[in-house]
Amino acid sequence: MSPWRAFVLFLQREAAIQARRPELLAHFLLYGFLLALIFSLAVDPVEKDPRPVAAGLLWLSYIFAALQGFDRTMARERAGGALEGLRILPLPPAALYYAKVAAGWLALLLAQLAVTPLFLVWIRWGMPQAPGLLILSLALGSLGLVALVVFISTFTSGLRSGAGLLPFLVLPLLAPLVMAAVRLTGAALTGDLGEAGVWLKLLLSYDIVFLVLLGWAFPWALEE
Amino acid sequence: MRGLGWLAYLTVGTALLLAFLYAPPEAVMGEMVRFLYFHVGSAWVAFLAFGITALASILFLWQRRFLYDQWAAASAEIGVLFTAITLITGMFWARAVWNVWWRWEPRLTTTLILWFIFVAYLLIRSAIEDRQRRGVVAAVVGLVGFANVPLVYLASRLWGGFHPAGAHLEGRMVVALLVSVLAFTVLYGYLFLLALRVRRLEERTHHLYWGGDSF
Repeated sequence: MSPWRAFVLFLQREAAIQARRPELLAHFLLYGFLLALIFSLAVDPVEKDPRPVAAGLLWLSYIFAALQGFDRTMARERAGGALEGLRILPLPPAALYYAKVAAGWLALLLAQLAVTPLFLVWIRWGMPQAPGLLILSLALGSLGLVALVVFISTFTSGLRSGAGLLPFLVLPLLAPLVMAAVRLTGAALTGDLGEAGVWLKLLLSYDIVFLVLLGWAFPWALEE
Repeated sequence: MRGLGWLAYLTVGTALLLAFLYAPPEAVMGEMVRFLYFHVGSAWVAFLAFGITALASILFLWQRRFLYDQWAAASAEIGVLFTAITLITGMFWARAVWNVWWRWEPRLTTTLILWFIFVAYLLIRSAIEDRQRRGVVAAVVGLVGFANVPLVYLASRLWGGFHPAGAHLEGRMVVALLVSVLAFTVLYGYLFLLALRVRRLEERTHHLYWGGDSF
């Protein structure tokens, strides 16, 4: 079976699971909304101008949502023995990895499309200056984020005391992505596009490096 | 190994004397330049240690010999320690010369992230019981962490850089610096052997107590 065919099959599997019980989307949405709410209250938009930190707070919400969502779903897959079954299939593990990334990315994007406008309303921002770039920055940032979290949660889910370790492993590796995504989202919100090109390139290179590297290393993450 | 221990005492002692008594104060930084000898020495050891961890991780994934896993773990422990020393000496120096304790500057940011990655590396090692699995997971984390470093560096360079890239050192300063780098390297070698020995002893105790060869 060609790797592409395997990818499509794995993607259908993810879609079937999420259609039965949209756990990822539900986690991302609920976590995203709750953190946006808490951040809006914490920065008190009436007293101070929260706009300079808005992009950072948005990304914090999505990072925590991703950590939470994948921690749960991956633990369930591991506990049910599903990962073990998938591991021994005579199919390329990279196809499974990319299917999981694609499904998670789609779910996170859907959640972002709902949470971002509401957050902007809550902190009284109004319309972003460059909506197209905003969507692009969310999409590219989420891709790298999901690529990393899927990989790390796959092997931390296999450890008895591993659940609490996910953020310690993910957050330092996420540092360059956070820098680039926050700057790019900030540029899209304010319309100050002077440095946007540089951050866009950095975000793209992060996505490519991590997708290639982690896809290649995924068999080791699956190992028991 | 005992010989190496004495050599480490000797070279580190010489480096201390050179750094504090032999080398002159610097024109602009004055006495603060003396931080340089320890800062550069420990930074060198930190990167050497993480380099050896990465190399040993590759060897382990390739050949699956536990010796390589032990090398990687021992070296990572020393790397975390010396990265911390680098960061702390750098902060004191920065307070005196830049008048701030910290700047989000490429080398500082990269070094700090590297420190966090390898702290997580040690954490995950301690969380896995199974020897085989621990070796694999740690090696993958170590390598992915290593691959992240150029990206962190690139990202933080775009924020602007302040770290001195090179300095104009007088002859006696160069001598003190070279001796101190040498001394730190010998110290690394000694600590590395000690850390390996601790691991071997741990394994033997575990073996005596629990039997079998799983660790």
